[in-house]
This record gives sequence, C-alpha cells and structure tokens, in this order.
Amino acid sequence: MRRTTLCAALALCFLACEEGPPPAATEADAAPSPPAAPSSDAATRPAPAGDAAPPIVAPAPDAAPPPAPEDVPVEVGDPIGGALRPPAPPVAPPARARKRMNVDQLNAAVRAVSGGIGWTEVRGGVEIDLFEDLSATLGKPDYAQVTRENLQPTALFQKLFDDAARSVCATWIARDLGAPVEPRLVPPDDADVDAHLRDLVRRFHQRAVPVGGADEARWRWLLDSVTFVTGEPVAGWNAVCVGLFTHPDFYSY
Amino acid sequence: MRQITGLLALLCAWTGAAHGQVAPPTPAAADAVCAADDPTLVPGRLARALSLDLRGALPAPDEVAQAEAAGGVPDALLDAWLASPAFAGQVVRFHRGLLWNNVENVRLLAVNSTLQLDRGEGVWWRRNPARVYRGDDVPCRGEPARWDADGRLEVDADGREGYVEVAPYWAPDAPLRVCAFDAQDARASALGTDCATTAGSTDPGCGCGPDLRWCTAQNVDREVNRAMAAALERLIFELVAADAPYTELFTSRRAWVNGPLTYFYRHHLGLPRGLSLEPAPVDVDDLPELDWTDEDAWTEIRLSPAHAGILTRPAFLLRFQTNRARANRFYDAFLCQPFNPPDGGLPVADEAEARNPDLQQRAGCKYCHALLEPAAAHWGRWAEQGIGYLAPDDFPVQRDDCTQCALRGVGCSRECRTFYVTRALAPEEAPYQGMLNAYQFRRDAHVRNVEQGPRLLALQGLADDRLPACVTRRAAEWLLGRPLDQPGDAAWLAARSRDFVQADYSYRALVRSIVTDGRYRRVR
Repeated sequence: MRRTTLCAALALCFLACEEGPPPAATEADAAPSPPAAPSSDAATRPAPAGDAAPPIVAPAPDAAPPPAPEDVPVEVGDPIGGALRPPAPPVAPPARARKRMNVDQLNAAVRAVSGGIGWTEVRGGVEIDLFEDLSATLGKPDYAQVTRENLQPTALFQKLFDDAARSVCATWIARDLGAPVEPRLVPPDDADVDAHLRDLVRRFHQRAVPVGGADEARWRWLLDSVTFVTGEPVAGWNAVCVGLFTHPDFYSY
Repeated sequence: MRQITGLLALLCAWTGAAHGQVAPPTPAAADAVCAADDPTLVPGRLARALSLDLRGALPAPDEVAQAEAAGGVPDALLDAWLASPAFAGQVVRFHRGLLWNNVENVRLLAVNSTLQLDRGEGVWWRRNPARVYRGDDVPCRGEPARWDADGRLEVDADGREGYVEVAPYWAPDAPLRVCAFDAQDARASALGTDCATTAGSTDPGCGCGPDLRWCTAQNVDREVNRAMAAALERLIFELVAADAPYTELFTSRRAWVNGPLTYFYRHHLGLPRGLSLEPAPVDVDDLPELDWTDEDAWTEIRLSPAHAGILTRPAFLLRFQTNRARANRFYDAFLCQPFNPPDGGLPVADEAEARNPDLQQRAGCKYCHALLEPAAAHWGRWAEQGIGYLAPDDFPVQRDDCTQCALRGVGCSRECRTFYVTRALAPEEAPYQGMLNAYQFRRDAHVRNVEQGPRLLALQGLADDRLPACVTRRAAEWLLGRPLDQPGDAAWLAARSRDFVQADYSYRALVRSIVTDGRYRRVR
C-alpha cells in the first residue's frame, strides 16, 4: 500500500511539472528597456523639485470599476429579551456511568463468546487461567491489602486484555482451521462475509448491525485492509476478532 | 522529464500488478459522520448490561432476541434472572466489598502445633516441643520406634526416639512417619496436663493426639480460614436466594459448617495462636459428625440467640479484631456513616485532657469516640482478637476473682487478664477494676448495648431508617457505577428506600426497582 501511494504521489508530482508547453517568451522577458521619456501630459508630469505632493498616477484606461458595496440589513434590538446570560442548557436526564467489566465477568464473557476458549497458558504441564492468575493486576481486590476494586480501563488493563484477545483469537482460529465447531470465527469459504461480520458483532457486542450500513462497512474495511496488506484472509479475521474484543463495547457496558 | 515520468508509471504499474488487487475504498464521506449521541441503550445492549450486573455473564442469544422483540428486557426474563443462583452469587460478590471477607492471613493454630518434615531423617516433628522431648530442637531417628517391656519409649544416648506411622486427619489415606513423642495420643499427661491445649506443648507426656488432631502440617489449617469465609458468604447467598428480608443478614441464627470447620470447633479451639477462640461460639456437642475431608459437605446448624447474622460470624470477628473496628465497618458499610475527623482537624488537647483515659471525653477524640465507644460496646461480649462468646452466666459484669486479683495486682487468671479490667493505669479507671472490659467508662444508657449485642445496633439502624437508606444507596452505587450526588439523586434514593422498606426489605425487589429505572438504561 505504501509503495503504491508513494509511486502515485511521485507520478502526480512529475505530471504537475509537465502541464502545458513551456510559456513563450514575452516582451517582459526581453532585455529591460530604458526608462520612458517624460510625457507632456499634465496628469503624468512629475512634480517640480521642492514640491512634496506625490505623483498622480491615472488608472489604466481599460480597468473595470470596483463593484458597488451591497447593503447589509441590520436589525436593532435584543432577541433574548435583555438578559445578559444565555439561556441555561437543557438538563440531561439522569443516567448511570459506563462500567468496565470486572475480571470475573471478562473471563466468563470471553469464554461465552469464543465457545469455551479462555485466556490460559501451560506451566509445568498445568493449564493456568491467566484471568485468575493476573486478577490482582487487573484490579480484583484480595480484601486483605486491597479492598477496592479498580474498574478503570487503565493502560495496564488495555495491555493485558489485548494480550488476552490475541491469545484467544489465535486459539480460536487454530480450532476453526483444524476441527471447526460452532461458534466459528473464520467462516466457511462459501459464507456471506458481510452476514458473518454482522453475526460476530451481534455475538460480541449484542448489537444488531444494519445491513449495508456504516458499522458493517467499517468492520468489512478492517477485514479487507488487513487481508490486503498481509495477503492472508486468516489474518483479516484475526484482526476482526481482536478488534471486537478490545472494543469498548465488549469490555464495558 | 517525460522519460522519468514514464519510468515511474512503469514502476507503479508493476507494483500494482505484483499484488494483484487494488486497495479497498474507504467508506463514503457521508457514512463517516458519527451518529448523534443517544445515551439510551438499545434492547440488546440493555439485556447485556442487566445480565452482566445480575448474573455476571453475557445473555444467551435467545435472551437478546427476546429483548429486541420486546423493546427491552421482558419482566418475566428479568424476574427469572433475579431469582437465579447467579444473582445471589453476584450479591455475595458485592458484599465481599462491604465486608472485606478474607481471613486467610490469620494464623489460627499455635506455632507449637505445626509439624515440619525433616528431609534428612524423613520424619515429621515439632521444633519447640523437641526441646522438652529430646533436650534439643532435633528430630527423632529415622527408624521405627521401640518400646521396652514396661511400655516406655526407648531413646538412644542422645535422647532420640524413633518414628511411628500415623494416618493424619487431613489425609487418612496417606500415613506419615511422625516422631513417636510427637505422635503421643493421650488426652491428658501423667502430670494432668490437658494435651488438647497449648499447655500440652511443654509437657513431654503430650503429643499431637489421635490422628494428629491437635496438630497441623503444610498449612492444611488454612482450610479452616477458607471455610470461615465461605460460611459467611453462604449465609448471604441463602438469604438472597430465598428472597428473605435483608434484615436477617444481621439477625439470623442460621449457620453452615463443613468438615474442616467442624473439626476446628471440636479439636482446635484450645490451640490458639494469640487469639481468643474460647469460649466456643457454637455448641460443639450439636455439631454434625463430619470428617476433616468433608470439605464440600455443608450442613446447616442453628446458633444461640446471642448471634447476630454476619456480625458475629468468625470471618467477620477475625477480619475486624477489635470492637471498634467491628463497629466502624458496620457504620461505614451499612449505615453510610464512616468515622472521619472534622475538616479543620482535631483540636490540640492540653496535657490534662490528653491523659483522660475515657475517649468519649478526651478533647479531639470525642469527636468520633462519643459515638464509636457505645457502638463498639455492642460487641462487648465477643472476644477481641478472637471469636469467643462471653456468656453472662460465666462472665458476669463483675467477677470477684478478677476484682480481687486486680486489687492485689497479682495472680490474675487468663480469663481475668483477657476479658476483665485488672489494671488501673489512671485514677479514672479504678472504679472499673474487676468489671468486664466492655463496661469500662460505659454510660448507663449504653449498658444494654453490651447485653443485647450487635443485633440491637442493626435494629436501631432499621428504626431510624439509616440502615435501609444506606443499603439502598450502596446497591444503587453498585448498579449505576457512580456516586449518587447529582441533582435529583437524593429524592430518587429516598423513594427507592421507601419501596425497599415497603417490600419487606426484599433485596431482590430493591435491585429490580433500580435496574428498571430509566437511569439504568441511560449510559454516559
């Protein structure tokens, strides 16, 4: 993509330099002419020495006169009844705050969406649930030393959840390519890609995506652009998967 | 110039041909405009939020479809979620944040009760009692023990005996090689020492008892800590699942025990590590017959009338080990009245005032303690740094033996030293010598706090509406994810609190009234 853009830019640049034949030489390009001899016209006669008035220059005979100014209607009066302060903005109805999922909700949600795949790793032959292993880092209190649950989407949370998304998505893709079971991330070859994308958004975010709308176009664009850059459709679906997990519509509500 | 342009064109054409396709178009400019911000959740997202808050999990696809078809979560679906065990689990999780329910860092059993493995000899032994057994902190020999004709344990020139194989109570199928002195199972020594107490660790005639019941190893006693926390949460779970009045959280005599907890009550109360585990807070004779290994066999029991729901459970008493801490947690969590100093700080007391032992009157301190001391008195018959209950029959307001030893200054028993005023460090304390600690500086009007216990504190909170108002506020803060300090919140909270009371303190109804309000569906 970058190479193509650069080439296009360079080509446009050179084409711009090539527009039209080179301009023909004009009288202005000729050797400079000596200053004009004084004219006998009084309008252009220079002022005698010792007089401070500037020389009068008459306009060119064929210059168009400036247009007459337009009348702009001006009203006098106070449209808001004389108040010095603007009217108060409308009071928004009370609402709740958007909340981040806690660690337990995240763990359950990831497994529910992926059909049972969790964020795990094997240590010493034992499968460790990393949501539980890193729960303190992700804000879960132990109520011995930490008594308040941190539900802010901090940079550390974003980083760790990004790791979780990539791990789960990679495992999901491997399952789809090896022994696919529902739910599928990578659709069958004959599947309607747009419909599958809409199903995925509904599965991850519980949102209905209008057919052919901007929302669908954005996810399709992500899929297509990553596929184009990498040349691997699987990479495109991986990007969609990670994007759906790390979107605020997944981890917050 | 034209030649360069032509070369560039050829280069770009080759680049495009190498990839075989063209970059995808970007969305149309009109579609790139963001939609107007509407804070109201669409039905699917509302179902998602409700399911996460009420059940801790995403809704099923068919549940999302139901919500979309109905334009919101149908009442029947919402009621099903509220009646589910998952909702009770979420309420338990929320209350963990109010009660700070974790006592795993509390060491229950005495140091001398802990067996350790000597890898050289391959035997289990106890270090401190070894000095009593063998004259030095050394283990026994790594060979089977022998007895003489008189039944006495044979020792070598160094005073070391052999080992015996014992099936410990925590792993009956995995016998251990335990030093014979440590494995003695007599209930009482020849000197009359009760081997089931800490005194047994200094008597060579005492050991760990049958099945090593008076000892522990490899931190297996932590199962008791976990069981205590689980038992407290089980009470909350059962009350919410049954939609019982929320007030029973502070008045209920229902309790649950499992194997480790039962074993602890039966065999470990006399072996505390700096704690007051006795007098037993439960009737040990009425406990179910469970083995230590019956971890999952939760059995309901009924406690004495002195109990007050979660406020007298071992997990609460050990998490907040002083009466002031217990009162402070209750006030903060359930009355929304934390004890904070005034904005301008505490006044500086003069020297005489700073020595006043009565905190209810000491300058500065009285700002909080005028209220905190009477509140703490509700736990006056519950041991501090422990779980023991001081029944009035055995622990009257004033005890003659404690009064006498306090006046003489010597010879005070452990009970007097622990539970009664036996020293007067200031003249103001002298009148209280021989009296229960909770009665020191106790006003006449607050005597009933000691005798009626934490139950009275909760009922007072009900009578003056502080408790239901605070419970409503806490639930709303949990579900709405913000403090309730915006215009209109106070009146709304008051209305929800009235509904909570009129619904007979149904926590399920309270949550329902909050999540069905428009505030919950609008998100900013």
